[in-house]
Amino acid sequence: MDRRDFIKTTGGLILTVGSGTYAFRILSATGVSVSDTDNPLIGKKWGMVIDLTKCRPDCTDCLTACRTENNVSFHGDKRWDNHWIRKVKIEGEVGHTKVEKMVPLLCNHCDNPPCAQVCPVKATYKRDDGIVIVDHHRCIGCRYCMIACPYNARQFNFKNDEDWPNEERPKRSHGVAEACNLCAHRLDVGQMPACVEACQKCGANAILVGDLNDPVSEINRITSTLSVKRIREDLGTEPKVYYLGL
Amino acid sequence: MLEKALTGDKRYWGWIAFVLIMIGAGAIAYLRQLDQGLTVTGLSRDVSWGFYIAQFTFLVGVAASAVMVVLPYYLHNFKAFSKLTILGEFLAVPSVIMCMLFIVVDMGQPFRVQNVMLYPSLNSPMFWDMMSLSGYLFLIVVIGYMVLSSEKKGIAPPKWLKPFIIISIPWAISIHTVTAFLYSGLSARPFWMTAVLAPRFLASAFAAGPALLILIIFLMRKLTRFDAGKDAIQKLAVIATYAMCINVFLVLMEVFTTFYSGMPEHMHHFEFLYVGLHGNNTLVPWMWFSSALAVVALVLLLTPKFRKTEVMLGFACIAVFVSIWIDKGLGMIVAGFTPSQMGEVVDYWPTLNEFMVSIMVWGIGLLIMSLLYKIIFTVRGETEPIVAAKEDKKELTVPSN
Repeated sequence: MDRRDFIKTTGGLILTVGSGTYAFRILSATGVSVSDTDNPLIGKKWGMVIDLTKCRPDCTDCLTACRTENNVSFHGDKRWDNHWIRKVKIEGEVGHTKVEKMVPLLCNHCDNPPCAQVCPVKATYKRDDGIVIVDHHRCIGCRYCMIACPYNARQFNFKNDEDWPNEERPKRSHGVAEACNLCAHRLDVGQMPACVEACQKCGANAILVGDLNDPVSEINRITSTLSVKRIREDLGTEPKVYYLGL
Repeated sequence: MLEKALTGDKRYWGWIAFVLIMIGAGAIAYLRQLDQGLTVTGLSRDVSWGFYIAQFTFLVGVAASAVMVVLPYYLHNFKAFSKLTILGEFLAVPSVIMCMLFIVVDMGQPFRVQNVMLYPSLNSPMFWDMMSLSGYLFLIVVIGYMVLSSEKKGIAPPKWLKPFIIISIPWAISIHTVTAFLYSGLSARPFWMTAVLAPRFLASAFAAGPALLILIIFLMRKLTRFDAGKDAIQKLAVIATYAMCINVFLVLMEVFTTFYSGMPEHMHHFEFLYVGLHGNNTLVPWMWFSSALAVVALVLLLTPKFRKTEVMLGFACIAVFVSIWIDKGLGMIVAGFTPSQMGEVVDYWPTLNEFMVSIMVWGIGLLIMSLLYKIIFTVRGETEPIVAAKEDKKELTVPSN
């Protein structure tokens, strides 16, 4: 056996064994849903209602509270600023008259999240309690989730942020995706998300977070008795953020 | 056999040096991007894929188009392509490598690229794209190497290679289909959410690829003793003609469906491309230029007299290639983001840094291609140009029948 044959044979062997092992790994890969806490609140299905009739068009308290709580980066450049929750002008109709509404938009924590579906490394996944979350240590920064999200709710860290308002929560390095996590870390210890708290403080009390699995919860009373709308329900993503007065 | 790439005349080494300078200049830009993140590009949270991914998409097409010489030769026994199959495969090899590099330079965290292998995600078209591209690279490297080394020894390629060749044909189709699936399965992006996207990608690839191959053949005939022959060139021209017709046809299908139904969220993207949207018309002149080139190309290719005249055929091939490059390499991706899901129009144009990084990747592709082609021509003893090439040229021009 000469050197060339030796290289060919070993190369072929390594390739066969390697790809065989890898194929096994792929075939044995299982579901996406993961629970990462043993907190009693698990098993719920979190949802949100935003009452636009109560939300004040010029108030941004929830935005600021979210930014501070979660260290959401802001550089003063529209291209790179991240917003876990933001207010967008949306044209609606009252009768035949067009009206503009300021609508708070955030991750809809879809039951069929397209972002988690397309993520090539399972960095984005849905927890058992319905919260869609990003593992920013695994994310490769391909931004496919941003492209798949119908709500433009996915964010990307274009650059590092020097500010670190809440040192109890992590900052993200540049090059990874992120989105609202419904303040999972707060829900896990029995606190309401930062935006909900801020909205209560400012007196509007327009945001409600509750358990969609609980038949007698306030959120289920509202969504079943009042005329609520979700954004782009037609896409089949089953968003879990409901709007009153949209 | 590989050592053949390491010997050459001054002209060869001069070219290699030039390509290395391209790569070096681009590498500096890439180091800057690694340091400062994707802020050095024109990308934003609204237009999150741009020039890199567009080049990736275009080059997958070039890689797949090798099948247009492999299929007629191996399935239909079209002898005139016997010298061309390796050229097609060794054009596909650097193309696939460039595709992979364009994905890596687009990533926010390129040092985590192994996560795609470590956490295989069967739901993601990107995972399947990686699988199909690496599988294709493996196939064409094995096939190209075995066919060329058999040619060197003057024997027929080994029998065990045949299944590889046969599999490589549908596999080539698959790489561009999966690339289209990256886009066409997303409800968030109506511009791409069309079943005709994969066929359209394939049609444009099978036009641009053979057009590029014809141009390479013309160039190689100047630089080396290699001559593909009149039959082969004309057959490639016919393939490019059919593919270009189908491509334009499919684009017109899109236009009809979009504008007859009149659904705003579908129409806005086309308006952005061809008339501008909300005062943004960055791509309008490019798209009309691309359309004009497509018309010129079709006139030149469909008229037998022009197609059979080499100068005209050359112009037609340039027109096809540039037209499709603008369509796929500039328009296709950016238009998907404009307007955004929320109806916003955000400017995007590649920055100089982004362009330089692309130069690096193109440079690496050119380098690999030059080395591989050098090996082919050295093995065949065709490195020196024919001195009397200029006189031959007139004879090669075929009068129309």
